[in-house]
Amino acid sequence: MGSIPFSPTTFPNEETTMKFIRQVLLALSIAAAVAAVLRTKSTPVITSEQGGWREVTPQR
Amino acid sequence: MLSSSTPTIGIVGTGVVGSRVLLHLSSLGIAAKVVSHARATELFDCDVVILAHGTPHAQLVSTFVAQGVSVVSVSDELADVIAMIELHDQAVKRNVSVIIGAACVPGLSGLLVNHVTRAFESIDEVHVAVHGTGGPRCARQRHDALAGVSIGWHEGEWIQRPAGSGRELCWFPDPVGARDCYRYASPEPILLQRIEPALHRITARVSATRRDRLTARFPMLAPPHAEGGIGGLRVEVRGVRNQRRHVEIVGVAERLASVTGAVAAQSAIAVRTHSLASGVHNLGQASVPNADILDGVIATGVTLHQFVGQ
Repeated sequence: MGSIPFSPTTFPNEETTMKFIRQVLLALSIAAAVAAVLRTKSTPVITSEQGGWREVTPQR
Repeated sequence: MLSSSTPTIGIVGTGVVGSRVLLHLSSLGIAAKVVSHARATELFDCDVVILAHGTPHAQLVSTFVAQGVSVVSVSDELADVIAMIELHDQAVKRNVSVIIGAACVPGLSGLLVNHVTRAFESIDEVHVAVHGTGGPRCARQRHDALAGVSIGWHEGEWIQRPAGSGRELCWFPDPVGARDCYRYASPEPILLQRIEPALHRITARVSATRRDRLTARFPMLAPPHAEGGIGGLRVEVRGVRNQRRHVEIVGVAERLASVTGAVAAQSAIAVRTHSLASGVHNLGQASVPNADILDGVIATGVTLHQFVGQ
């Protein structure tokens, strides 16, 4: 009778959608990798605090 | 101890702070009448009324002043406190006393600045930091304050900075410890400048997490806890002692609702028992019996800490 007017398995936008999802996943992976590198390479903060808190009673 | 037969103190607010105020007054044998915000007019026969409900307070303060009733307010909202300061002339005219900012920050912070100042020849900087919240309304107020505009006093000028900026690591007494603190919309610099107009720099910061700062500009997604956990207050005063630069750091680690309840209760007692001048005052000013109020607060079990070291 002729050609099939619409394929049930292939949507017109499917390729574009998958491409977008792949790009998002790639961007997230790169961001996570950069964050992991910065976190491991960053210099640990060493506090210079010396001393501490002690209880006091107000004197008039 | 004061007799319970003396005229009553009224409390507006039945929440966490209101109940703590009532607890402190009851422990001293002082009768107090507690009502909700909607029934505040029932307190027109009281000598002193403590406003312990959620902000704003200015409108109700004006109403009580017009009735000749002295007021103690625990509000820590910037615009609300400014509005209450502007009621000074009205309070003088009606010959009543109003104590504003009778909470933890502001409130106990002003008392501590006044107390610590005696260790100096002159002071020029005060930096206040707070961690934690009292009741749910306090938590909502703190949430909004992180999204507003912070004010500070810098070399004789008022400066405005975005709330949530200016990160500084502040050490609070244990068990709170070190917390990242940021500027927030607080009336504290205005009130501290009223205590000591010669100050050069005044800052107020609040502890916050990344999530607090990220979500500050949105409505609170989850309802706050009925009461915050252990909070902290840190007051750093810088000045001159023995011709040299000197720093004193004092603080407390306690539930902020308990601190606020104690400060508000002791402020109301001070209004009733001392001949406080008519007008609007804040804690720490020379016109207020600061030492008596601080002694009363510490007698409720609040422990004062001093940082020693460098």
